[in-house]
Amino acid sequence: MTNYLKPSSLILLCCCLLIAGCSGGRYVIQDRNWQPYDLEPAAFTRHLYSCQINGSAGIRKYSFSGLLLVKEMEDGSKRVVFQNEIGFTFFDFEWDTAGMFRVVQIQEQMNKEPLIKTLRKDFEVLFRVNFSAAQINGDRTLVRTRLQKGNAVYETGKDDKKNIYILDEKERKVVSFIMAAGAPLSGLPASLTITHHKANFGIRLKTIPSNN
Amino acid sequence: MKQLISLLAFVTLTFTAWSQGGYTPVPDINGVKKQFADKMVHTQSLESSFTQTKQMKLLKENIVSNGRFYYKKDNKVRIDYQSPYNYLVILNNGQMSITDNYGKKTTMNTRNSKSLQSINKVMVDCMSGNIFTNSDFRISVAKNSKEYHIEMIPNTSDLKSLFKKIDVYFNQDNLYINKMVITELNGDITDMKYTNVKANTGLHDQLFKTK
Repeated sequence: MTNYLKPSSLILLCCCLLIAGCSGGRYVIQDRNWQPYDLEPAAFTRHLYSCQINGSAGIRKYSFSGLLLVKEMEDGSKRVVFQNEIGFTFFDFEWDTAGMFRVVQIQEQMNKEPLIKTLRKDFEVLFRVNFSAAQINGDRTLVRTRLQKGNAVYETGKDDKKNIYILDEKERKVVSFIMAAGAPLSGLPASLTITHHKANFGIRLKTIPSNN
Repeated sequence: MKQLISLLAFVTLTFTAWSQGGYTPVPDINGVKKQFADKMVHTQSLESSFTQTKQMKLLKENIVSNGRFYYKKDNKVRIDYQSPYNYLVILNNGQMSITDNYGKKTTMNTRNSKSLQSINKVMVDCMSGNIFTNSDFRISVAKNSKEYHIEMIPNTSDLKSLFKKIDVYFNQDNLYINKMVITELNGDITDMKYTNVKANTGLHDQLFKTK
């Protein structure tokens, strides 16, 4: 047996285990009886979260924490503003009523195209902005919609599961949006953890009690 | 002639802005500088409660948070947000640590970043009253019967990209900080009011430990 476990094989095995450990696993969808479904954009007026964004660029890790304000404006446009507690704005994003995205303001340290693209995609999946036609499965537990690459799958709340996943073409989890229990499917959750399984990137959101 | 009219308009507007808060400009600030310098010699530490009010243009209501603030000579500041979220910032001789609402602690060396260095310095200077020596800002002073109002406009591009100005208000009797107002480029305002300020209470160095 030891003959088979040469150092190179052990390294390969370790790499395989590491990759398997990092991936989000496969999302098994047994029911394939998809029907057309009208997936509405998330309905909300205002949410204030404490927010933590963690990631890495190359070998350098970064972490930002602060307050994240999500708001639908009177004209129907959506804004996401991330500030630190002391008052400096990290970024301010806007989607107009036609779904056009705009960076209103961003700090130099966050002004990186891949980071903006990732944040934009995550919020668009959460808000259900710029979506193509959706479908619901036979037992009405899942709604899916096609993305540029792969699909977004929304759990509808049956068995209390209301998480969201972005799946690649092989139905492997690329991103998981894990919601607080009791989150409304139609709106935004009280807390949320977004994990990117193939990249070292994540967002944590927790509602700040409205005692102001 | 146009330049003269612009200058007069600027002076009038500036004077009106000062006067609106009941403050009149202090033309010769050397006397005020000396007062602060003398006071600093005798101030080893400060501690107080604070209430922070954040006015965001996007929100109709303000975000109010509360906590405790500590300063110890030299260059040590601790800002401890306790409600409605936990957030702890410690500045200690070029080191900065942040512990966020999730309990995650991040430590950084502000000497590696010009922006962080400037923020570190301005926070320490505002708390300690040592702001007259900060060359990163253009400083003007006004006063009313109770307070000195010190307006700080950033000079450097790093700070200009972060905020429009900082206004600091000091109690005229004891020269302790009463209030600090940070105005961002987009007009958002963060107002920190300090209450029950106590000096020289013998703060332990452990409070300012960043690691």
